[in-house]
Amino acid sequence: MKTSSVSTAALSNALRYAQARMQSDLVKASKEAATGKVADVGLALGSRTAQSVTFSRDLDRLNVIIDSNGLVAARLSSTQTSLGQLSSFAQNLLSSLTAATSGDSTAGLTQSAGQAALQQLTSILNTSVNGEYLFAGTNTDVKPINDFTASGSPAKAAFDAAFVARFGFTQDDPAAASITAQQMDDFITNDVEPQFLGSGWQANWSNATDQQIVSRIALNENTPTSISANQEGIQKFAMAAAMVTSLLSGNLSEAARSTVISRSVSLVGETLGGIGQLQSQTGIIQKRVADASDRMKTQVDLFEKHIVDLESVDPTEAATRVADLTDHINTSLALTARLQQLSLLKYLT
Amino acid sequence: MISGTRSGTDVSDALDQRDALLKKIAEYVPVSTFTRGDNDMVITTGDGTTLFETIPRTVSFTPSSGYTAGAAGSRIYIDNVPLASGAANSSADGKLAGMLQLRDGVAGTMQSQLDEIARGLITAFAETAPSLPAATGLFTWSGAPAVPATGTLVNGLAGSISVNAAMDPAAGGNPTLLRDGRANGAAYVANTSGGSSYSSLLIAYGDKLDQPMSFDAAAGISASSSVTAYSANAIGWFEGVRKQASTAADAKEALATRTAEALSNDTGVNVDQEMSLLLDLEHTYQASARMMKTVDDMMAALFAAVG
Repeated sequence: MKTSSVSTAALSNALRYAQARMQSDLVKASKEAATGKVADVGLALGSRTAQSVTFSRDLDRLNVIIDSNGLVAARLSSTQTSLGQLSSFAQNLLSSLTAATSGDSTAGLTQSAGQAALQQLTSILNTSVNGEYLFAGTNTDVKPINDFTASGSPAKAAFDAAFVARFGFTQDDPAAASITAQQMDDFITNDVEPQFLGSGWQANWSNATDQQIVSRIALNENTPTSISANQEGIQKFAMAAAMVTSLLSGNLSEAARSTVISRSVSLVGETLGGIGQLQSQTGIIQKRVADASDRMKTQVDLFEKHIVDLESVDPTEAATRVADLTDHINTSLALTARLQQLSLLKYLT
Repeated sequence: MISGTRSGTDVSDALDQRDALLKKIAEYVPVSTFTRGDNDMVITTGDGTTLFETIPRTVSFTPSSGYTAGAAGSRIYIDNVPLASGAANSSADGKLAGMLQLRDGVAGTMQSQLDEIARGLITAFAETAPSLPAATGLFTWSGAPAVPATGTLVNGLAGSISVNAAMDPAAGGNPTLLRDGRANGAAYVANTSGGSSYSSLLIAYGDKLDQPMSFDAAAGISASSSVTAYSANAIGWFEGVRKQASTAADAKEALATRTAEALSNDTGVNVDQEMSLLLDLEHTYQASARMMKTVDDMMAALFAAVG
């Protein structure tokens, strides 16, 4: 008896499923149109999500390293400036000493030049940037250099004690005038040098470590990025300045004094060379850090591009899809309303 | 229903009820039925286990009050035959098989992957010293200070991993231990000079996260990769499974829609059609009524003539 196989229930349900699907698609499509990214990365990429995750992680790491390289670069450029200042202070001391050798200035003047150099040296080496002492090696929360001119300084005490032990009297004793140039030279070589270039440096002068701060400047590149105060150039500068300060004040003979001064001149000369070397070392590291940052910035750009390639959708396509879906839903709603009106019952009254 | 059919009473109401119940059962397990004489129905599952034949068969399941990591879930028995779970390509039929697949397959694998990632973290941050066994560092677990064995899955590790209290400032620890490597006593100290900017150990930890280590093959991803790569792979694996499941869900939804439509067309009625049939009946009724009226009129006329 049945002539067609369309039931009334099927007729009114016909568009319901399509409607539900289109609505959920519309939510996704409008999200995509608004953000320019796929609505659900995991669902869209499947197992390739691992790539996206890896890229994002590497991107974050690179950005962190670039930021920390900024700090490293700041530290290095402060170090470079400080080294430049050290070099000019050494230069000043050298000119005072040269003046003293030619006999133009009094011992007192030279001695105060030495003292000034010593204080400048101490203040430069104790420079801190960002809460870290620049020249402290890894021991950055402790002042690297003890002040020689401060009262009760162990370095000063050790120096004076060495003098007394060698000659049996202090620098200020009238007997000091009897010290010969030969004796003075011997004292400097055997007693003073170990205090600076030997174990005495670490015991009395420096709290810095030989170990330098190692920084990660690229994904797979580490480099030492600080200069320690325990460098020969700096030690020699301190030695020259300390000798001039401590030995020129007393009652030394002219011969002994000129020995002190000539030894100091050669020490300061070596200092200048040493500091120059440190400056170029620092420069090389600065260059490495800057290069690494540049390289990583290129990588960051590449990674960002990859992530965009993986996750983005064509905004025009997304917008078109939103418009299409809206149209479809409208049509479907209108059709449903029409179909519902389509009933024989209405015409039977 | 059988006795009703035999005695000839109307059982259509009971038949409807039976159909509705069958629909509900089919949501849980796939069913197939065949009807014997006197409307006697035998119900079996899709793979042939009897659910109902003259008498209902037992469906039994012993629930576990909670699942510890790595514990196998108990099975569902229908008529003492264990119910199969769905396979990898989301072919599960019915809610029960799908749930079983999720419980025994995906959830278990994901858990062992998380456990392996946790083990990787503990290993990467372990403190080492020459001639001493490696000991747990930043991350620790119930077996501390020993480090979990290489390449062996430890069930439930991801749930028990914690930050070493000795290094956690919130727990009264000292975070500088991480920098110096001192969590396990002086023998493990890497920062011997005690400098506050000592960074080599921290950099080494970062490197270890990127170095390949061996993972248990049971977790289903790579057997040898770095912790970072392994965790990314775990995400990839999971999203892969999810995508498959989503595709399968789409396919099944389409199938369900089509089937429902076909079923509705086959068993439902068209109101318009029925209405027109009704009109036909009405017309027949009207016609017969008219006929009777005519006869009545004729009779009345006859009686009037006679009377």
